[in-house]
Amino acid sequence: MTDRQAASSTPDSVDALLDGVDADGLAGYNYAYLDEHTKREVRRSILKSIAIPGHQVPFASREMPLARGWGTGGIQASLSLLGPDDTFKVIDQGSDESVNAANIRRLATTTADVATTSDATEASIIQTRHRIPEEVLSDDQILVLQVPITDALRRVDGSDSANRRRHAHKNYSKMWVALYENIVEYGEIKLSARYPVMVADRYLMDPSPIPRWDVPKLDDADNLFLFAAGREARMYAVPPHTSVTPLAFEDREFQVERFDAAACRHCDSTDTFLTEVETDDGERVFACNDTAFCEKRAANPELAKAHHHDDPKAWGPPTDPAVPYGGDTPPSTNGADLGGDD
Amino acid sequence: MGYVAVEAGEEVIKRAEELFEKQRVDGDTEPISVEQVDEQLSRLTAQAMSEGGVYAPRLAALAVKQAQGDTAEAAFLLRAYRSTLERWDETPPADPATMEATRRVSPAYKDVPGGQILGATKDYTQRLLDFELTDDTAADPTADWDIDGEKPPNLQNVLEVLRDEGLVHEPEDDAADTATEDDDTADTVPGDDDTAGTGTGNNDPSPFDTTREPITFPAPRPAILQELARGETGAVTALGYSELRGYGQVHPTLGEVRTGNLPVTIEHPYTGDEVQVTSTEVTETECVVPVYEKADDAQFAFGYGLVYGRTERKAIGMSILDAAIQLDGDEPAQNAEFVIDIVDGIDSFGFIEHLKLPHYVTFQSILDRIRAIRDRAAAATGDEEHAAVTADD
Amino acid sequence: MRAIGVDPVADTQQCFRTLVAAMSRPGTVHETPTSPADHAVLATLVDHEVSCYTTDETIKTALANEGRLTEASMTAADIVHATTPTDGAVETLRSGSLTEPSEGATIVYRVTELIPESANSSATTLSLSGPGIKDTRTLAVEGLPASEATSISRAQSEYPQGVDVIVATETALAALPRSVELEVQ
Repeated sequence: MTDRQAASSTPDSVDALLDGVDADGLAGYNYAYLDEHTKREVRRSILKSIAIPGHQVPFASREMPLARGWGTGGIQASLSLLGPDDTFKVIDQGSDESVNAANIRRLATTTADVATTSDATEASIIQTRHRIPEEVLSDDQILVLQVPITDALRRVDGSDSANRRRHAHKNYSKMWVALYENIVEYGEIKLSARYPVMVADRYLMDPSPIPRWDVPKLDDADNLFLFAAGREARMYAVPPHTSVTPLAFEDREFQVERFDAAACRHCDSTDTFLTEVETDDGERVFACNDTAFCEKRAANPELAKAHHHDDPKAWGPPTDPAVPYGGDTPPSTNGADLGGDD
Repeated sequence: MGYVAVEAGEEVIKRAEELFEKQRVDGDTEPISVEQVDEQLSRLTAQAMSEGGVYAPRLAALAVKQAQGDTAEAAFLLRAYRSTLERWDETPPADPATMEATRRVSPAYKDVPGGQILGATKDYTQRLLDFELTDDTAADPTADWDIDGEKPPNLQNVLEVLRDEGLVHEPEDDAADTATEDDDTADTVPGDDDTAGTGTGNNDPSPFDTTREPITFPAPRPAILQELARGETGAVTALGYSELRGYGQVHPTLGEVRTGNLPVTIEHPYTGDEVQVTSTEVTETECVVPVYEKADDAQFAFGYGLVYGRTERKAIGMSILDAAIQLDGDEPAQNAEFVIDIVDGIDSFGFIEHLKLPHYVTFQSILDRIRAIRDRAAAATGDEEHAAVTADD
Repeated sequence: MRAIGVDPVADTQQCFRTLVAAMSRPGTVHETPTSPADHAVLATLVDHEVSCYTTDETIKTALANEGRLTEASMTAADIVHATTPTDGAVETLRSGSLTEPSEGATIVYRVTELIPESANSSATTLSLSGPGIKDTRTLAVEGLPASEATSISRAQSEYPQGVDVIVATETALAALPRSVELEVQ
């Protein structure tokens, strides 16, 4: 291809790339954008990551038309998985409509000819930035999580090579010491999202910046979780029915976020992850973060999170800290002693 | 409303792109042509090629135009494009001795075989803004030079003089006695000698390619050189500077800096002969550092730099970092993992700018924690006051 | 790959999904889009970036014709194709290092039949537990001697180092990643 020919088909952004595809059909690009060589590299790393749960598998991450840090790992994983029979959902911080999610979805629909949906129960593959959907996923679904920072140990050491040696020998004492020092200094474990977990009792894993609320969903799930980092070029996985335990102490149990008895202002739910918004008149209101599920709940307030399953498994605790968490996922999450009356 | 996610479908993305494009076309001037960027802003396009990792001057000019001059954005466009190209062969190693040098200076010696060739440079010119350029006549000041028809010479690299004397430490010597930094030497799994972490067999003659194979540390020197060559110019310059500034032991003497056209040859698929297919303009530099690893066999440490185009500061910075990394040490520029992790412009640009993406879920989680900590602290203070009151009762 | 009946885009994508399902749920049996299944797997996973050991001339030629074959000995290869049981040689395959366990090999066995959740099969019966399995799962493999299964178990006994196993019949496959506990009944 000469410079001249090439110049006319350079993709400047997903937008222009897709203009070119619209014009020439898929003739200009391979199915699902990635060339088969790239897909093989990504696919091999995915299979190895499933075989070694929680271990970060290096892979030769390619540059994508989206910037590093904006989901290039997730896209490479999704585009290597997707086929024309799939239905694809993309969410960013819980929302299907966010600009970045829309952009990723466009890339997939045009180059991979897939159907898309905002319904988490209809999607065969869900790519997500920093949330696990409220509705319980089933055994034929795959959740691809975008990962910015691949190693939980990065909090205690910037060197990947030093941390890989720690993982090799299951030497996580530095992390435990850091958590202990948290408690000594603040009385609490101050880690918020990216809460470190032990996978299959072997590897310490960074579950990506999902809120603590979502962490219990990883344990003994029916679906496969893939964690893809494009910039750091690592792939890792949690297969179904794998034990995933957040790090905690006997007297400082793992805590999820609580919302002070608030309910979603749209659908009135008290058992979903909420985010707060400051209104123009200085009020603080809460709304469901999983916007697609919020719509369903607004239409049907009694809708269970596992409404599409036979087994009424619950994902996620109540928002009100006063309500005891009776879900099947250990450990108890209202053991926090806040020192006052709730 | 306060902080809400940027909610939109394709329409808003499209509008944002159109606003960006408006900034380029809104003025009264004629659109700048790709040819003009290519010919008149060649140092900018060379930087884009160098950081983009692909030699294609016209494409780089297009990228620079599209990016409205932003080198990181232009390099990103080139990298993304490069990802889509099919790779069908590797060239044999290119020999810099075959370079047609248009500039070659050697700071190490007053005079060298082939001479000191200043070439095109403003190094010795005073940096005064030339207001006459506002009325650019594009007059060629060399128009009436008496240039003979000879091609630029092939010049022997000055460092060969030092090598012949046995004064330069060859990095390949390290490969033989590199001890693994892994401490799994206690493993007794047979046949497991994963020291360099490359994944390709030790007998693989293909060069390590970081775009095809993920890097783990300790990384082989070819991988490090590749990442430096593709590195962001500012990062390579700053880190190289840190060594000179005192955060390290590398204050090198440059053997030479040369710029010229390097022939690119391939093995002809049918005849097997080496044929030249094109040439690339490159800048190459080699340096020696008076740090002697062995007292009984003192040899200079050595650094190599090679970049597309004429960005000399990047080539020199690269050679400083090559030497610093080989020497190893505690200073930032001597730590291979630190340097390679941060020197890639596309990675740093993407990750820094990703902070603009919505982060309200993670922030909610953080708010929860700070409130819990403050509640706990307040409760503890409340208890103390309560205890103090009761003690006084 | 069309020469061996594999569409290089569509069939490899479907075969990859089959492998994902099989690896995520060890011991479950899944149909491949093309047959034989072992060829489908190699056509999906092998190119010149990984080394491959195979004695099967058909797949060797198909890969070599596309410049996708980097051969290696059985003990050095990333991907090993076992058209017959290895007689215990599986224990000598690459198993990766502690820091880079993913460099352990993948071995694709050609077997005769796979019977999931088998109670009284005469074929080698494996009892499996671990990630991907709710409690336990049984899989009977016709064409894999019990001694070979025991060797596989030994090759996978130094977790996270180890080899990952795919067993493939004419039309289907199952996977035994190194993470599973494997008992030969």
